[in-house]
Amino acid sequence: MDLDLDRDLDLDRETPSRTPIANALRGAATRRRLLQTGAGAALAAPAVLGRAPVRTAAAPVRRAQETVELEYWTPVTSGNADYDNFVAVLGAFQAEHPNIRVNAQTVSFEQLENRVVIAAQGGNLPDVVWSLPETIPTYQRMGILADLTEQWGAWDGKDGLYEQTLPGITYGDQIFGGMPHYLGIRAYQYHADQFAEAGVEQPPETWDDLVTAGLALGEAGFPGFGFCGQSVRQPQEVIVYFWQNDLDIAVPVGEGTFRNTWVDDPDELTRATEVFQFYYDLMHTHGIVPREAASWGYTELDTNLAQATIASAVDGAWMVGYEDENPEAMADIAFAPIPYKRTPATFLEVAYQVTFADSPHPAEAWEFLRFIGDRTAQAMPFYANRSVRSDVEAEGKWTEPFMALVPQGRSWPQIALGQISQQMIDAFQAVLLEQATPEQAATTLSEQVNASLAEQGQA
Amino acid sequence: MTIATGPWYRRWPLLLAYACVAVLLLYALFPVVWMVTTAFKPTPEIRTADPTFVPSRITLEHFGLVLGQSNFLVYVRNSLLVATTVTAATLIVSTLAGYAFSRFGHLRGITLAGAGLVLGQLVPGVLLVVPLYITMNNLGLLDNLWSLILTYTTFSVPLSTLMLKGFFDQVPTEVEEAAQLDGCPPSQVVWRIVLPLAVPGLLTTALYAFVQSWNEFLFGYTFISQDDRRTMTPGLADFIGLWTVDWGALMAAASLAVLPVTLAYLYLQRYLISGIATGATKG
Amino acid sequence: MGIDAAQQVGTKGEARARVPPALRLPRGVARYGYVYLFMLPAVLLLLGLTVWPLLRTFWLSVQDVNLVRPGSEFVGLANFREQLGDRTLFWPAAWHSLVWTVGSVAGEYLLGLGAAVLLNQPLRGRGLVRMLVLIPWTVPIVIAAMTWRWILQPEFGIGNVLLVRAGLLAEPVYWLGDLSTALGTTIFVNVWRSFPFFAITLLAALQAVPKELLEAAAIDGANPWQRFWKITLPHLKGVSLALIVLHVVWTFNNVEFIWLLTEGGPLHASETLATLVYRLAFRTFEISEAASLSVMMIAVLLGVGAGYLALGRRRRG
Repeated sequence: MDLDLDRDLDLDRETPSRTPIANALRGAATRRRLLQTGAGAALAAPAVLGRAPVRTAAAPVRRAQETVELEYWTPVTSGNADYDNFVAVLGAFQAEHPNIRVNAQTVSFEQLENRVVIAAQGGNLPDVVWSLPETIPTYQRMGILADLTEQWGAWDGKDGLYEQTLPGITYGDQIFGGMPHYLGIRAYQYHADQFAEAGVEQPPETWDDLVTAGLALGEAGFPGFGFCGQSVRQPQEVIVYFWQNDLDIAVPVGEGTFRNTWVDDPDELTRATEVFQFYYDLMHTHGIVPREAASWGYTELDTNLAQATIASAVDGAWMVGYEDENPEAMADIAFAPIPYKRTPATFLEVAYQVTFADSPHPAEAWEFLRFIGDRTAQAMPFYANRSVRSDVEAEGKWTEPFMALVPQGRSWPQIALGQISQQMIDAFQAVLLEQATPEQAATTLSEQVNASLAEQGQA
Repeated sequence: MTIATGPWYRRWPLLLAYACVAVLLLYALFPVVWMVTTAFKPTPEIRTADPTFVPSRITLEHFGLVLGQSNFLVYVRNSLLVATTVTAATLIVSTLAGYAFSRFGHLRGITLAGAGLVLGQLVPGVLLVVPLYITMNNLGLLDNLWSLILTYTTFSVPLSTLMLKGFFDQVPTEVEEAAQLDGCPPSQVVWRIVLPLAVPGLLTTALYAFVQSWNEFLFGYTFISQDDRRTMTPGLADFIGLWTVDWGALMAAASLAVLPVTLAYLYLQRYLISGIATGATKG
Repeated sequence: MGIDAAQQVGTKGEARARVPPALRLPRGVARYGYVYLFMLPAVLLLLGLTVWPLLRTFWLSVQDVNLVRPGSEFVGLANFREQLGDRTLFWPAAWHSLVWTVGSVAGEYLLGLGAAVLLNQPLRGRGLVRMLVLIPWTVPIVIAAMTWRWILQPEFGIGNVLLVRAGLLAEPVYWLGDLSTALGTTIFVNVWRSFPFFAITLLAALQAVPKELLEAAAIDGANPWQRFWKITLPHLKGVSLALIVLHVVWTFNNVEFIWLLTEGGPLHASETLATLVYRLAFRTFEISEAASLSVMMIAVLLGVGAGYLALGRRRRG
C-alpha cells in the first residue's frame, strides 16, 4: 500500500490554511499516488470523493492570507438525522463570510466538557465550542470565557431571544461566553392508544393524576410511567420536581455564593422529602414505574418509551429520531405539560455556542455566534423546531407542544455542578433501591450539596 | 490428557469434548454474531421489544452508510498508519532493549532500566491523560498522529521487551560468538544472526503491539480533535449520535473493525502458537 | 552465558590500545557502550512518557489542585487521609477492586486453561476453533461494552429474551442494573474478552510440554488426571505466573470496561478504585484526589510485583 508516512504523520496544525491551489495540487498528487494500488484507492476514496469534510462545504476560492480559520467543536455527527441541515447552517455562514472558514470537528456530548477542561490546561482551546448549560458556570469559574458584554450591547438581534435563555450567560450586568442557539425542552410524552385502551381520557396534570392514570394503565397491562435512575439525564429530570414543589438545589445567598436551604427549614425539608417519596411511591407503592428504572440511563428510558414498553415518560423532542426504528410503536405518541404539584415547571435546556477569552480571532468568533443567534440561521431547518427566538414560528407535531412550554421553563442555578449531579443520582437511587428512606435521602443530599459548594468555593 | 479412541461407547470423553467446544464457542461468539447479524438487519428490526437473531431480509444499507457516507475509511487508514508504525517502532526499540537484557542483564545500568520498565507497566493509564496531553501540546504534537505513535509505543515497549528477552534467551550464544570472531560488529550480530532465529517471538510481539494500538480509545480521543486525523476506535463514536445511536451503522463499522485483526491472526496463527510456546516457557 | 558474549566483545581491546589514554572512555562504558545505546530508546520513551508523568502524579497527590478552580496549595498527606477516612466510597471501591481483579483473573485463567486443554486435543476443526475463540480479544472495548450492555438489557436485550424463552429464567434480570448482580456481570464480560489471550498462551505452553515425559508416565501407569496434575501443570507454572501478574495489573487499572458498562453503578455497586480515579479526575476534576488514589494503587501493585519477583527467585534457586 502506497501511503506516504511523512506526509500523513507530519501534517502540522497550519495545514488547512495552505493556499487552495497548493491543496488542490497536493490532492492531485495524493490521488495519483494512491491510485497506483487498488487498496490505496479504496482507502483514499472517502477523503477525495466521499462526504466532504464540513469545512469545505461552501468555501469559495480566495487567497489564503485573507482567510481566518475558526476551530469549532460540535457534537453533531454524520450519524445524526439532521446532519445535512447542520451543514447547511455552516454553509450559509460561509456564504455570508467568505473570509472565515469554520473548521468543524466532532466531539461527543459526553466528552465535550472533559475536552474543554483538558484543552484549557494545555492552552489549546478551540475558538468556538457547542456547550450545554451545565458547563457554563464551570468555564466561567475557570476564567476562560470571553467577555461579550460590548458586542452584545451593539447587537440589534438580541431582543428576539426568549428571556429564559439569558440567565445562563449573564453575570451581574455582563455577558460571558456564549450565544444561546437551541432549546431542548422536556415534555410529558405518552402513548395515546394505550391511554385510550386503559380508559384514561386526559393526560395527567398533577402528580396525583399521574398516579391515578398509572394505576388504570397498570390494570390494562401497561407499565404506566418511566424515569432515569442514572446518567446525565437523571438530575435534569428530578430537578423539575423540586422546582414544581417550590424548591431549588441551590439558591443564591450572596455575591456568587449559593446554599441548599432544605436543612435550614423544616418546611422545605418536608417538600424535598415529598419529591423522594413521589419517586418511591411510583415505583414501589403503586408499581407504576418498572423496578429496573432505578438503574436506567437515558438510552434505556428512550428505547423503552419508543418501544411502548412504558406508556409515558418525561422526554425531549429528540424522540422523533426513534420514529425510524419503531414506526408502529411511535405512531400514537402525544404530548402534555409535565405533571406538577405546586407550580408548573419544565427543564429548559439552553444550548450555547461559546467562545473563549484567548481565542486568537475574537471578532470572527463573535461574527459566527451572532450569525447563529440571528433570525436567518434560527429560521433554517436545523434550528426552526427548537429556536431560541420568539420571532421564529414553531410548527409541527414535534415542535409546537414543546415550545408552548417555554414560559414555564427553568434551568440550573449558576453553580459549577461538579459532584452535585452524582450526589443527586446517589440520593434517588438509595431510595429506589430501598437503601434509605425519603427523609434520610433529602437530608443527606442537602448536606452533601452544601459540602460540595463549600469545597468549590461557592458557599 | 489425550482422549482415548475406540468404539463409540468408549468415546464419551470425545463427545464431551465436542460439547465443551460448542459451549465455549457459544460464549465467545454470541456477542460477535449478534454484532454481525445486526449489521445486516433493516433498521426497524434492530431494536425491538421482540428481538431475533435472523433478519427477515438482509440489507447492506448500514455498510453502505459506513463505507460511503462516513469518514470511517479515513479513520481506518489513520489507525493502520498508527498501528503499523507503532508495531515497527516497538519491534525496533524492544529488540534492542530485549537483547541488551538477555545478554547483559548483569550490568547494573541495565538492571535499573529493567526495573523502570516493570514500573512503567504499573501506572494507571487514566492518570497519564492530562500530563501527557500537556507534554504533547508542548511538543506541538496534538492533532498529529505522532502523539499517538509515541504514546502507544511507550505503552507496548515494556511487555514487548520482556517477551523478546525470553526469546533471545533461547538463541544459543555460540553462533554470535563465532560471528564476532569473524569481525562482525554487534549491531550486525543482532540483525543477521539473532533476529532471524527469533522470528516467532517478533511476530507475537508485533500482534500484541498492533492490537493494543488498534483498539485504544482514551488517548486517541483526547489527543486528536481533527476529524481527518482521527483513529478508528474514537471514530466509531460518529455513529453514536447527538441523542440517538445508529446501531445498524455502529455494528457494521464494528464488524469491519474486527476483520483485519482476525485475518492477521488467521494468517500468523501457526507462527504465533510456536512463538508463544518458546517465549512463554522461559519468560 | 551473557558473560561469554561479553568476553568475546573484549577482543576489541586490541583496537582500544591504539587510542591515546586521555581519550579513552571508562573501561565499562567503552566495552559495553553499545549495550547502553541499545537500551537508550526504551529508556528515553519511558522517562518522557511514564516517569515524568509519574513524578507529576506524586507531586499532585500532596497538593490541592482542581482543574476548574484556579490556584493550588501544598496540603501534605491530607488527600490520603481524606480517601482513607471515606467509608462510603473509598473502602467499598477498594473491596470491589479486589473482587473485580481476583474474580476476573481467576475466571480468565480457569477458562483459558480449560480452553487450552480442550484445543490441545485431536479434535476436528481445531484450527478453526482456535481462531474463532480469539475473536473476543480483538473486539475494541468500546464496542464490546456497548454490545453486551444491549444484550443484557431486561426489556429488549436478546440475552434475557433467549433465557426466558428457554425457560432458564422466570423473568428478565437487569444484570447490570441490580445491586447484587452488577459487579459479577462486569466480571463475566471482562472474562469473555480476556480469556482468549490466556487460552492461546497456555495452549502454546501446553505444546511445549515434552511428550516423552507424558508417554513415560503413561507407561508407568499414571492415569490422564495424574499426568496432567503431576507433569503438565508444573510445566505451565512459569507462564501462568507471568500471565496472572500481568493481568492482575491490567485488570486492577482498567477503567474503560466498567465505565462503559455501568459507570460504576448502580449506587456505586460496581465502583472500583480505578473508576473512582476516573470519576475524580474527569467528572469533578479533583486531579489531586485522583492522584493520591493512584499513588495508593501503584503502591498496591508494587507489592504484587515484589511478590512475583520473590516467587520467581525462589523458583530459580
